[in-house]
Amino acid sequence: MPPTTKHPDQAEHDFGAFLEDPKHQHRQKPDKPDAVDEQAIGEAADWHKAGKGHPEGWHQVGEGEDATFEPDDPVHAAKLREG
Amino acid sequence: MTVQATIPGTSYYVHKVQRGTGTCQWANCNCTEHAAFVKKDYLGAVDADPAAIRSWIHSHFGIACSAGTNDVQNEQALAALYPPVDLTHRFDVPSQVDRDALDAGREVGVIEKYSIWHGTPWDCSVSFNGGHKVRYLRRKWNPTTNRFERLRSDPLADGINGPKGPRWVPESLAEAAAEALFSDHNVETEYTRSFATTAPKRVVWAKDTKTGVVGKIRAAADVASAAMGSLARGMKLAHSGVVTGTTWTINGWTGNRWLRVTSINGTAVSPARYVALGWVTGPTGAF
Repeated sequence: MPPTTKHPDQAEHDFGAFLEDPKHQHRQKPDKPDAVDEQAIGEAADWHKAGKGHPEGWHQVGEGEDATFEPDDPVHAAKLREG
Repeated sequence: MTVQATIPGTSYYVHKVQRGTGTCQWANCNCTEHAAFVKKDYLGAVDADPAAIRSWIHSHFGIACSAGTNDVQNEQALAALYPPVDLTHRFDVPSQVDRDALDAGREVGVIEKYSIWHGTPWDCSVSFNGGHKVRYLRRKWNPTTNRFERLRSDPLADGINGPKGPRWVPESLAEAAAEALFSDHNVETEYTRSFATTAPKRVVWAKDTKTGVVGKIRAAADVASAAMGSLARGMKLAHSGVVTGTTWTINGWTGNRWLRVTSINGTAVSPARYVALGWVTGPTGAF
């Protein structure tokens, strides 16, 4: 038998029980460090520094497509912010 | 064989794209997804505008277009522009809770680290590594790929870098992206309304779209019974079930089912009041 998802009523019960637990009432950012994915950031930077463009399998903007967004465009890289 | 319980209220979903929202398009993932949250929370009766949310945040917090926005800012904007929308925002949530929420028919919004998606078929921005807001709409077991998957709404999936609209992604990757933001691997998350039969319902229509009439709270499940007050969009109605009554017409639709209301906005009412189901039902019939 394959794994199953929970029945919606059971899932809602479990979900509600968790949210009512005082240990899980944080509505503001806890005072703890953010994780930093240095390796991924470094790898991406290396690809671009080396002028390699997209790694294998990444999507390319095709001819005739909307040119307002160009994935290799450094302007885009600078523009896209956390949000 | 796919084993998936029927989930009420998930017969439709809404997807907008970040770069189609004009203002602050380079940093507008959070406002874009929160606009979709509003539409889902009001069952399609309210069409929120990402640019309006962004503009409200700019005027109240001074967040310029060069920076993104966070969940707290967006929730305050929704409370001001489309009250009341309660997305149950939480920090420090294990991913199992998000699985429960999806199984229950809620939509789940998380903040994630985008770099996790680089090199995968679901990457829509090769140069973006930072914090990103996405929604997950459903969850299922995929027997072909032998894994759980989530239907992912990425506001960067705009038809330019990959297809436009939601895609099924491995749940392991979805959770890894959300967990990567915090050192303890819990996630920051939000949830849309519950579709459980016992959950409180919310009034989704401010007035009848055909006649302009404002809805009434009735003493009985009868359109001719005494009006005990007026309905307002967002009013929260706890109830003890649905009963059959006289025929009503709301937004051009007719029905005879009424909500038996036991509390209004948290204040118990006795004896019970009645509200025609059409006031809490969206265009798709979900409630």
